[in-house]
Amino acid sequence: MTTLLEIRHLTKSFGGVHALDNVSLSLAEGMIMGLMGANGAGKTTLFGIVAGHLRPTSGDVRYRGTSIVALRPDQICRRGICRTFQIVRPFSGLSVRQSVATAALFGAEPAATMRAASERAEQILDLIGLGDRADTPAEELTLSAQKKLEVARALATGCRLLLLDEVLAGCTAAEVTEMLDVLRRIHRERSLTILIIEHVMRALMRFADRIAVLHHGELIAEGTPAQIAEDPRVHDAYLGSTP
Amino acid sequence: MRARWLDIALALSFLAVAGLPFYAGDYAVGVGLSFLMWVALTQSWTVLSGLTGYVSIGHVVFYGLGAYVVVLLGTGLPLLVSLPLAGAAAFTFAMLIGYPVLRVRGPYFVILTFGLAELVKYGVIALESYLGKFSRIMFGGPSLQTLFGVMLVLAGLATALAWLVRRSRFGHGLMAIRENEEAAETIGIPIARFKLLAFALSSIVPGMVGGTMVLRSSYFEPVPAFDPMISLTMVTMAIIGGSDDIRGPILGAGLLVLVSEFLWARAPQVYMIIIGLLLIAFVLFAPGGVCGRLLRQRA
Repeated sequence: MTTLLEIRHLTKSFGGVHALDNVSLSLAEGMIMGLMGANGAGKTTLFGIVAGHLRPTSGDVRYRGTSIVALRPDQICRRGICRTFQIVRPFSGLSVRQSVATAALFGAEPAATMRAASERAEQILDLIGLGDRADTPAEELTLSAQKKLEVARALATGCRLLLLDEVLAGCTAAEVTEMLDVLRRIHRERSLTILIIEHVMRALMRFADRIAVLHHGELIAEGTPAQIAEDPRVHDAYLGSTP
Repeated sequence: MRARWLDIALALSFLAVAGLPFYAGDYAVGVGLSFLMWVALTQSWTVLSGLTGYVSIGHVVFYGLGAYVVVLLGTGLPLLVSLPLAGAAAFTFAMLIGYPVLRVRGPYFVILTFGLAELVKYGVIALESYLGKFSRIMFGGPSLQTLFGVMLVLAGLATALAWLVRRSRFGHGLMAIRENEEAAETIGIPIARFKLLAFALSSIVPGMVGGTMVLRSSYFEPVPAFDPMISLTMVTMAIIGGSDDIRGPILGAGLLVLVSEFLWARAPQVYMIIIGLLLIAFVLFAPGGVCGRLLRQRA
């Protein structure tokens, strides 16, 4: 399997605080990588750097072999990486269909015409289970539907690497199951590579191929879900060390 | 249904206005010219402020610069040369200042546009007094009827621009910026470039309108040429007419020009009060403007 994304010795300091400290991580094409860690562990900072919202203090991020740390978010999106936001950012006044169709007009695989964009939006909305809400204003959706819309919008850009920032947070147990089904389906049908931040640990254990654990900005473990579940450093980080 | 009637009424009014020089006297042609001027200005304003949500209350800066360029060029040049130069000057200025100005958002952007227009006004005042000119008079400008025809073309250009941008990929990018700038950037929209282009596109016609109006008054002085009321009137017309539809600025301009014609003659003291009340009423009860109201009821 070829490496799609490679994070090398990434460090990000805010003043004296190391939000990320020498983190290295690599994602093979087609895999689902889970990113775990307590609040403030550096997960969202890592996303911000990969998506181009933040510049690292040092280190490099390479996508398909070329460095992307100096690019803007829109340029990174056009290369094929798209993120969702933990705190949803809908196009409030636009309908669900318009929101997704707009994303289809831009991104890595821009639709040639307005009609093509609209058709792609319909397909994605059906795939993700928002087909019947296409004409609803984005701001009137429930939180879990807005999280789906975030995913739909990202998919419409034609991205190959999808960065999901806590898409399950705030969803009920039934919604979590449904969302994971949807994500599995899009991963399969579009052979995407996914990097997912999640607090719902059981969901992540079932969903991800591999899991990386951040703790105070450092990568303390990386492996299959089974390895992570057994890892004493992860236990210490989450439960406190045994005296 | 209502929208259909609205279109027919607009088309008939358009014909009635466009034909004014053929059947009406100078006074009516002058009112028609003023209406077309406001259509051209407000329509241009919506390309930036309606689509991106970056509300400019300093758009008079382009109008004033266009007027100044035409005055400096004098009446020796044909309109087909001097007016495009006025538009080009406004466009160039917008491209130069746009990048830093558009980094600022929300209320800060609004205030900045106002301050910028005032700054340029005082810059021109300083320059004029340095040159020893306190006002400039132009002789031998085109006739009122010619200027009317020019303004008709400018109003048409601004309306066509607003229509084309609104339907384009670029226009959809601008609307995404309006609804959520971070999200727009995340889906691959080059936000800085798009905002700058919208800003510059919205400046061209106002530059040419300013150039045309200085020929109408045959008189240039920086204070009236950069009058903030011109900026505020564009905003008011867009709010009253609605800026989500190219018919909005036409309705807003028509309504306000009619109201002002009636009130200036009969009750000049209450004119501004009535405009203020209208503005408050629309902001509170019909934020989509006349157009938003009519179209929503149809849906």
